[in-house]
Amino acid sequence: MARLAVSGGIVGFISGRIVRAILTMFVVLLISFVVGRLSGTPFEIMFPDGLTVDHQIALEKKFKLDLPMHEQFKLYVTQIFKGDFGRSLHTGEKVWAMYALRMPATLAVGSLALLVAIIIGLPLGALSALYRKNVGVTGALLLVFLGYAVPHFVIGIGLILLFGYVLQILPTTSLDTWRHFVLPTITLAIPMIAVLARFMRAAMLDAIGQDYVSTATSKGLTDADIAKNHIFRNALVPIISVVGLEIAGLLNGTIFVETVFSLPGVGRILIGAVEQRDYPVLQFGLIAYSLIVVTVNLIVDLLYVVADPRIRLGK
Amino acid sequence: MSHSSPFSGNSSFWKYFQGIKPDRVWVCSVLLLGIVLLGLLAPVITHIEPTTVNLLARSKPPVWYEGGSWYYPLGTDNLGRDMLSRCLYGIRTSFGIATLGLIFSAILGVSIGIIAGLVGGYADELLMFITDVFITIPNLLLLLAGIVLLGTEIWVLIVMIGLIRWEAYARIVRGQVMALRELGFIEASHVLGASRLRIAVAHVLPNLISPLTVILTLSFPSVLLMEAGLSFLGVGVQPPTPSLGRMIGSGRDYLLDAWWMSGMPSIVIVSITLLFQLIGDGLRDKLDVRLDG
Amino acid sequence: MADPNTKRRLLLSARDVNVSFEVANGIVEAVRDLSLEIFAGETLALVGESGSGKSAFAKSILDMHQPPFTRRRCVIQGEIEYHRASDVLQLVGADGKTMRAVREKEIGMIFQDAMSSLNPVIRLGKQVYEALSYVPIEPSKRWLQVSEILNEVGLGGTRYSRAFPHQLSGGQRQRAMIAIAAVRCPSLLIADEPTTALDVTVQAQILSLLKRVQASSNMSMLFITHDLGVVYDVAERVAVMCAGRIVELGNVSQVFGDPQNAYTRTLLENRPGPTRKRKAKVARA
Repeated sequence: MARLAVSGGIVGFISGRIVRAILTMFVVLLISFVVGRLSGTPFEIMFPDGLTVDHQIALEKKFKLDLPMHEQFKLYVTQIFKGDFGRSLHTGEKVWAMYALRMPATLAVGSLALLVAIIIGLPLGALSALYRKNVGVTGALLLVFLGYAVPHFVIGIGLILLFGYVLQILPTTSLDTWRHFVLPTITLAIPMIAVLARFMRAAMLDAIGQDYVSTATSKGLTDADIAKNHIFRNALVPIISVVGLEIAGLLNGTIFVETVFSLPGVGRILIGAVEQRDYPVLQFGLIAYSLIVVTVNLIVDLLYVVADPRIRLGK
Repeated sequence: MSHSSPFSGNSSFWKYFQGIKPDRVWVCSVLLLGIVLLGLLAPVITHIEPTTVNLLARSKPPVWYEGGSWYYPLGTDNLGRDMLSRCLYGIRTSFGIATLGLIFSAILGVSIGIIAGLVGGYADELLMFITDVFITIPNLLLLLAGIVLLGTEIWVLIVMIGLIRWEAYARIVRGQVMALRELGFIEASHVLGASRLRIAVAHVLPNLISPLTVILTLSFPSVLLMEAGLSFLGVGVQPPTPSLGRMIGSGRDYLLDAWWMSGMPSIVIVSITLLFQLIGDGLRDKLDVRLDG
Repeated sequence: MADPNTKRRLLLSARDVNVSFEVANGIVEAVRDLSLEIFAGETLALVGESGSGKSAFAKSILDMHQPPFTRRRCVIQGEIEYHRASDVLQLVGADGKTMRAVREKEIGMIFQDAMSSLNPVIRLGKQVYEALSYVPIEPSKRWLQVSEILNEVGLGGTRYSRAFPHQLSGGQRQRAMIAIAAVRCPSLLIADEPTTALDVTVQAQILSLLKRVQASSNMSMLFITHDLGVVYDVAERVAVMCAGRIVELGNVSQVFGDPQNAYTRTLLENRPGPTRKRKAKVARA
């Protein structure tokens, strides 16, 4: 986070960020390629009875596996840019098609949880900084602290027991109506609420001590206006990058939430791929999830630029 | 402030802890130690093997329910295995994997951090870039890729956890080494003929004790949860080895009739992570460690 | 020229004011038994070393030590009376509504560090405009007032009103602070070391601007400084503070010409040299 202070103004900042995003995706592709090559050639699975040496050489030639590694990597990247992620070793289905069917559910729950976490987490952290002696706020903060230590799958099971079996007011599997979304979204949001509330509280406390708050007070502004226009507004700046850092954790969480609530998301594809050691299928998940995180981070960086004129306009 | 200065570590490790009064950190540490002991003494505490199946006593409730008995104080699972025994042995598994994974990641991270800090230049920039990338890629996907490649043996989990979690250590160590370089006495020792490695060990490590203590305590629960999470998903620790995460996962189908199958291991896991979190936070405040490296 | 004994309207009177802060290991008494009066239209300088309690007192006038926006607990005792045309307000222990009304209409304040005193993420014009938020006139008229005052302090044009603080120089920032304080035409302006952080040439500009603004709206000014040279330029009367107490109070010519107190003499003798004993016993004023 400290590395955000860049000279060169907005163009320098954004282009630096874009270069970083591209490099990150390059590393992801590299890791994915290396793991793919290490996990063996597809022939072993295509021809479980073994091949003659001649046949193998012919196949290697056909699939360009005889080329030097960097040439192969180039080919690999070109293929991926063409949208060709291969087929499942297990079912022969096109990997892309497998995910296309399941991605919407994951993205829906994920972005809903992100929204809920921001809407609840930021005000909670802000209020806890402003009303440090208030019992209710302190209590809520303690609950949040609990959310920090409890993993998604335990939260999910707890909520299923409470709302699904004891109170019997909410459905606990699949995603048919909006009521089905409630528990998965809350489960996914709780740990992120904890993180955001915590950082928001710290950022607010930091802003409260600043001189511009004295100036605002001396203008005769109401406490609410000071809190909203001065303290909260400034505290948001560091929080934006925290949101970016939490996206990866949120995506990890979707896999657990989808398992706990048996949702038709990509989580089950991923776990199935691991169980059957179906690398092409997992590879798509690795690349897609990383791409989502990188993209969200890039958006977050742009928001950062909007929120902080010191970066936007340079020194 | 004074604690985070590079010189503060010159005083001994124990000096830090003399100032700590018997409070939150102590209480939580004692409780945590209790849980560890329960795991270590599992064979003494319970006479039932965690893998012993008793089909006549399937899904028995804990002792305080009607139909429960002291023979199975925490009840049994759907195969009639003793929940208490499984939980205790599960603590062993979880702590074992988390501890080894953490040691591996700490060794890896500290070495990389020292090298980057001492060498500087391109090596340093490369390190910072790689740590950035590691923050970006969802950890769980990397773990899954590793498991596809190497299988689900326990050593794979340990190695993968180590490979994924080294970045925090590398960052903080690098920061300390850089701070010491600025101060110049490493150069001075260098002139005096000390080798770089010796300098690193003699001057850098003592300064790292308190930040490392805090990071280790704070990252233990997340490492433990990595293993538990993978086991919950069914791709971590494989049966018959008892694992808390796996128990929670397989109890999911029986939530309505036998909540304790998922509930008991959940309570154990949450207690462990919560205690670690409380200790880590307390230590951070007391040792005044800033983790922004 | 100003004689406190002539019949001038009393604006602010402080009697036996004590200000203390709760700190980690006890209580720090920043201001002890302070009494002074400020008359309409005059400038009173409050001088003393860092940590002598000048700023603590100044902030007490506007009750700026209160939570939730400050983190240290503070206790103010004594009486600070503010004389309006029709009535007298007791500022010590006044409720939030009264204090806000006083800050909004009666007393303005500017601070030493203009960079940190301006909000980094809000445009300058908006920050000045905010000071008029609760004035019951149309927004367009408010904006008119904003551009007028910005013109007056030498920051005219949209180039400045749309600027963010980090785009301005130190002197320009302090001008902006003066605009924020003066746009409401307060009866009293508290200037807390407004020129300390500035270059000497800029200092002179800011001082003359302050005097101009003061003359045009007939404000009183409480001018806090540790720079005795500045006192000659701006103030008619001066109060010398040491360790939380006022040790000497009177006309500038009288106090500086014939100091009665030993501390005042030391202060005068050390005047041209660098500031000594920066280390404050009390929390930084």
